[in-house]
Amino acid sequence: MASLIRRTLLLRTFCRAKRFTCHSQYVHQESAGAERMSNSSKESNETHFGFQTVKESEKADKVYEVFEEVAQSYDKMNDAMSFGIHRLWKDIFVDRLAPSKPCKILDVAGGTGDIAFRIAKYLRNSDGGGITVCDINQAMLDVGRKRASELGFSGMEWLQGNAECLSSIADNTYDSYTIAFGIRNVTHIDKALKEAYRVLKPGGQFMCLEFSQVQNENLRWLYDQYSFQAIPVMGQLIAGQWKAYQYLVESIRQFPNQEEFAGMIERAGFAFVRHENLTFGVVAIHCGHKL
Amino acid sequence: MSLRLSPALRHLRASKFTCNNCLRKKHTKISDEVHGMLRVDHAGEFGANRIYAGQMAVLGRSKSAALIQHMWDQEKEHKKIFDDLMVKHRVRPTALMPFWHIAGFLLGAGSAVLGEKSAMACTVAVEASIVEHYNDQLRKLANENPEKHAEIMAAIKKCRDEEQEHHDTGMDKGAEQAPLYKAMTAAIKVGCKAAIALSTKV
Amino acid sequence: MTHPLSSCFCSCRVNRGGQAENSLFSLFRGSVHLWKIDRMLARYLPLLQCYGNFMGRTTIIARPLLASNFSTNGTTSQDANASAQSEGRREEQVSSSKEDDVKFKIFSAALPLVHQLGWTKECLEAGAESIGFSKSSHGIFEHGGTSFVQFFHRNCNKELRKIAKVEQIESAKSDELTKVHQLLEKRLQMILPYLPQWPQAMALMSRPHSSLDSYKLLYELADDICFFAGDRSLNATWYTKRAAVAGLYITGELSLVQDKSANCDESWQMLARRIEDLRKVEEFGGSCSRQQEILKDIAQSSLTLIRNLTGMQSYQRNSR
Repeated sequence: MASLIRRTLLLRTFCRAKRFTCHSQYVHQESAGAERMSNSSKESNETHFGFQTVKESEKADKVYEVFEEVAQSYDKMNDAMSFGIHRLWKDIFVDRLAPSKPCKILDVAGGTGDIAFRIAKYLRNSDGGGITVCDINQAMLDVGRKRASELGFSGMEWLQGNAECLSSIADNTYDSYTIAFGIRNVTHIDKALKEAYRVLKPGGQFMCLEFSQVQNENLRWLYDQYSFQAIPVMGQLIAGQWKAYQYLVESIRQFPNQEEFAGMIERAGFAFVRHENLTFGVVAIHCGHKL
Repeated sequence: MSLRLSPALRHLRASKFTCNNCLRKKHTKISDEVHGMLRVDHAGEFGANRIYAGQMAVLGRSKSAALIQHMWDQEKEHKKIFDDLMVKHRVRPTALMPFWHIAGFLLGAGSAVLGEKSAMACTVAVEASIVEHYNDQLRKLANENPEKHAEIMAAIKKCRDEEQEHHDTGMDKGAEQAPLYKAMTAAIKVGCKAAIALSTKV
Repeated sequence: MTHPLSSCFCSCRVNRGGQAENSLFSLFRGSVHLWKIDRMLARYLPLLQCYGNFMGRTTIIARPLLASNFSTNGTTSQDANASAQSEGRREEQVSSSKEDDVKFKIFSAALPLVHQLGWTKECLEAGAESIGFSKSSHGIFEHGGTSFVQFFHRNCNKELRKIAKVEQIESAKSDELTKVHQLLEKRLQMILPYLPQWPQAMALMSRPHSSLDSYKLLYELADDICFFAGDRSLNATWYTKRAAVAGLYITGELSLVQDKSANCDESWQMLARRIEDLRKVEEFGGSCSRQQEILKDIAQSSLTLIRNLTGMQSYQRNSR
């Protein structure tokens, strides 16, 4: 209790010093995320890390550090930030995927196994066989593996790998490729999409659950206030990580909106590309098929 | 276990999956707009026919009868033009046709009962609204694809020019001297705008 | 494209004459059945189906069936180019792309498997696998079995348009109602191979979130049939004719599903009887319009009388 009070007092001082003025940081209408990223990479091999500009070579390490720090309290923070709604989003995501046995599914950036466990339950599969969880971050995979053993999913595979280069996976291997709240952390989204296309079988399904742009302007203002004022504070209070959660909300603003991301998926070669907004566009499910 | 949200929260709906192919097929959206345009124009010409029918029913033996009959004949031609376009493009006619059948006649007859100048004032108000409406449509069609919509634009231009003639004729015949001219024309214009909005969709 | 109202008819009995008996009570019972089917599906589908409430649902508005007024004058002369161009409006919306080819291939491969697997996602998966695609290709049909049935309907409507053009039904000498009968029969015959599994298809199309698409498909079918039968009306009869054709289709569909006779003869006879009923309604409508002329004359005379009584007639005479 005392530590909580001390943290809160420190936080108040920190907030006043920071003096968040969120409006200037909002980049909704200007978020030509894809063009900005590709332009920046063409010009000076730089990319965005939240609202900072970093070298492309550094971004992957920075993202790795962020997730290493938050791995232990990742699920708790997800519940706190979204008031438990992330569980609904993930449930809907798996419902849209509608997998059936026997199948091979690759869940990328699925470190703690949220999506993989849901798929296993949907399949009524007792041991999680046929599901591969891939993540760049070993700490996240460790948390996931531990949870899997507690839940009894001994058949799942756990693979450390980079979404931009899944060299250990052969072409045309998987029936479905899922990535939930991970693709915005990838340095080169187009490479990740091309890899997704490569590893899928013909007819295979690509599904992505990611934060996106809120459509309604009034709601967007509310959402921005909550994102920039409340989430880093909650991150500090619950997980002791201010910067990681600041990166989270900033990276959401840097990610392309629904139509732009759908265009990127199409350019990677996918067909039947479509998207569905959840919760007024806070998150969106994008879907495509390899022909 | 089933989760049920209250009806109040049911408006928190996600949009359906938006297919990117549908986003790119803008020509289908344009076609629906053009369908709406044809529908409202057809309804408008039908309404104009009924207005003149109402006026003729009251003023059929007055000195304005010949003039009203001439304008009515032109409106019949306009309606024929839009009938052909509607059939060609398989456009759904407005569901409010029975309503316009009665309302148009009542408007024409009602204005004619107040006198010839009131009838002309009614004509002026209606034609002014229609000319403005046709000009908006021509602008939209010209912005989208003038070559594709050439036939429709030619039809609308012909009708617009003749409606403008009716408007000018009405003014020459003393529409402004009608009792409560301003109030009547304002009310009729508002009614026409509402009719246009309704007939585009319904 | 089963009209949600058709599930109300599921509770109707078909008497020996092949006529479906309708009653308000059956309507009410049918509505309760519809509600119960929806609740059952929501409970027994995967847990996440109930999150459809978070997404919102479309509302069902049942349309009443209306009598129609078909003309017996035969096809009015509209140039063949016009009908071809107007036909093109719907064809434009379905571009022949690689995606559509793949979707059609999966659909065609899955269709023969409907007898074993029903109108389900599993049937689509089996169809996709049989032509070398991954099981996950079922996702191309967004809503699984429902999208499968909708695609089937769309395909049948397209086939009907082709048949109407090839057989030149529009320019045939017979009257409108005969052509409507012909086209309806052809369309209903397309579901005959899948009759044992057709109740499942009807149930899928009756669900609340697919009812809007079901209405659209039914509207398209009714519009096509009326157009190729030669209807060129542009007033309220446009609506009554299409409503009547839609009602005939639904009645025919329901009758086929319950028909135990050889070659479904009872259903075809029922359809013929309904067409005759419409012919009688049309004749009655014709006689009513003759009465309307008389009423119009009476109204005009009354107006003249009122003008005379109020002195307006003399005012107008003097003012000339």
